[in-house]
Amino acid sequence: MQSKVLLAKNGIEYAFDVSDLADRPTVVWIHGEFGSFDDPPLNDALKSSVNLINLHLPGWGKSVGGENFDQINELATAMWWLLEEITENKVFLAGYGLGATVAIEMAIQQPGRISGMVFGSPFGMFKESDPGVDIFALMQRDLLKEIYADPKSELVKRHFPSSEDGYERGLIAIRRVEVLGAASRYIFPIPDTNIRSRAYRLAKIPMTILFGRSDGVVPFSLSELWQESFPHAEIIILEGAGHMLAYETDEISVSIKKMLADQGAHK
Amino acid sequence: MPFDGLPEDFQQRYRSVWVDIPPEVQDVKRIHTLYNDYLDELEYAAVKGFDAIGVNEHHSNAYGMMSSPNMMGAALARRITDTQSQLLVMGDAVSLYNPPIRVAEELAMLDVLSGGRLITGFPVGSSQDANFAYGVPPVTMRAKHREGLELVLKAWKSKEVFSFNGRFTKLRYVNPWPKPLQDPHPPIWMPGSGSVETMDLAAEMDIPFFLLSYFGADFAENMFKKYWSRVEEAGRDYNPFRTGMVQLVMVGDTDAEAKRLYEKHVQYFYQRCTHIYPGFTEAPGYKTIRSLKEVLPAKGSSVKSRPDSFAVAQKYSWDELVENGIVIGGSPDTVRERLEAVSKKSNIGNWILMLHIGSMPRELAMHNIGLFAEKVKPGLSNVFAEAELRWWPKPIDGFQAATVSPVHREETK
Repeated sequence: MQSKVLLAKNGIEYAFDVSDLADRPTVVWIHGEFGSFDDPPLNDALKSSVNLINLHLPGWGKSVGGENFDQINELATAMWWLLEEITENKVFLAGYGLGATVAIEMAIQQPGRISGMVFGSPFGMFKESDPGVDIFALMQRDLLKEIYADPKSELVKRHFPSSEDGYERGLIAIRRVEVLGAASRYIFPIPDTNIRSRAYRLAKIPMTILFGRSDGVVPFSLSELWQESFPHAEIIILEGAGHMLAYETDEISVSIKKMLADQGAHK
Repeated sequence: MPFDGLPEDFQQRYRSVWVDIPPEVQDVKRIHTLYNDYLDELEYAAVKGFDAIGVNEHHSNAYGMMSSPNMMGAALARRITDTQSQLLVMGDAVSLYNPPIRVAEELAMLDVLSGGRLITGFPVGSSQDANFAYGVPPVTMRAKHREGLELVLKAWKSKEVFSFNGRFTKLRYVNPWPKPLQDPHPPIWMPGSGSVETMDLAAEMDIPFFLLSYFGADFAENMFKKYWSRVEEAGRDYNPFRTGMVQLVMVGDTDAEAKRLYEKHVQYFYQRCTHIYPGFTEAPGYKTIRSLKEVLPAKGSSVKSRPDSFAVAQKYSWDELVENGIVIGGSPDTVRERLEAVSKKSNIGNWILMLHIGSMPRELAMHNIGLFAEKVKPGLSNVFAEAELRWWPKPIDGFQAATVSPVHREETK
């Protein structure tokens, strides 16, 4: 992938990564509320068989700006501008957490441009009886066990390093403020983006939604609400995975491959 | 206005005194008594010659039970008319209110009701109150604060009905009735906890910045140095009344007497009332990256709690609290000398004194207030006699305050 390509519009500097665009399906990955840790968490088999575009949301560090956005549909509109600069192809949208929420908003705006959607741990619906933990209030020591099935794994150490150096620890704290501060524009204090009232726009789009059984932030019990709003969607609840299921399992890649195969079979 | 019934093992049993403190801890019958005690203490301070008495704003908080400072201000406004005291409302974080014109209306009412004695404070608002208790997205706080303040000021000053098309507030008709009695409006003070943006806004607006801290002026020395350099950068003068600070003050007849009287109540405050879950202290985005970078530790520094943090202060003895200047406590001479010294060192012209703290009973608070008024305050009043007191209510031409009549119970039968 070619990294850190920059485009500017309306005071925002957009960063994105893109592979060579060939005559094959295009998958767009949108990172979650914690930003991009590294390359999109998709397996090599999938990456080698599709065009891959990795969008960096403005405000999360790599893309800069977006301070005037108050609603997630404003962010989705901005991401459409960027995507249209990159490709005119129909695309598959994929992401997790807030990235899933942005993907849904983008699809609502232009359903005709979407071939399919696979996303995990989506924000956008809320149950007072099972609210999940508040990611904006939890200290890191309390947060990790709510977002990973195994909070002591090497993956967690890579994503959320710790340090005994005061300066390094300060930088880690600033990074947390940067990414969750950006996310707070769209899902604070309650991550209900009123998707249910607009879900009808996506009735014809193939969709797979994954939940982690160990997710303390987006409880898997919300899968019932998502199924009600998107009766055509395949809902999968993953054992041994939490909110960060995109990094903890391979299931998003597996679901995209399956969707690609299904659509190829129907052609 | 603290609740004095937090159990001894509060820290072990509960996560936080603020935001999600369980309702089961409340004793509303006790709070009825406390509200009346605290108002009595404020009225007593006005009678004893304090320049102003003040109220503030907190939400979902057991050490600050004043969710509506304006309501307490209203309770006080007619009870201090026979004193020289002004009324300070150090609350009303405009970003919490929708629409914020309500703040303009209520403060104007208070100014008219009190006969033009009102001093207003416009905090950005704490994260605990604004973000967690009131649901304001942290990254919008400062923009909402600026816009709300702009609306309030315009509403007070405008001679005409006007429309306001802000990012967060849209009003076709802005027309508060009444306007404030003070013309064009009451003095505005800007409280903050040390963000450079708040200091800069105060300097830009040419209004005083007040540091709200529970750790005393000694620990805040560098903060004030930073503030004064920004004041100079903004081209403003070095007037000491351009700043102020909150300070815990405990006066006894002697140093030893002060310790004997107040130690357990101060420790109640630091051991129970400041037990706040750290995640509630600053929601991500509440402080700007710029402000956070300003306080980044040096490379290679060790990770340990600062001496001016609640985590450390809860373990301090009375002597350590006094030695560190967190509490200015002791005999009248000790307190006066210490306050005078820190006033001069950091050029602080205003002090907001916390004379009631923690579990202090009413009689002890009255004792503290009385001793300070009689034996400490007179020696401090001329520390900055040469400086111009610019941000203070001024007499209003041609205005005669109404007489507050006592209740005629016979007539109401």
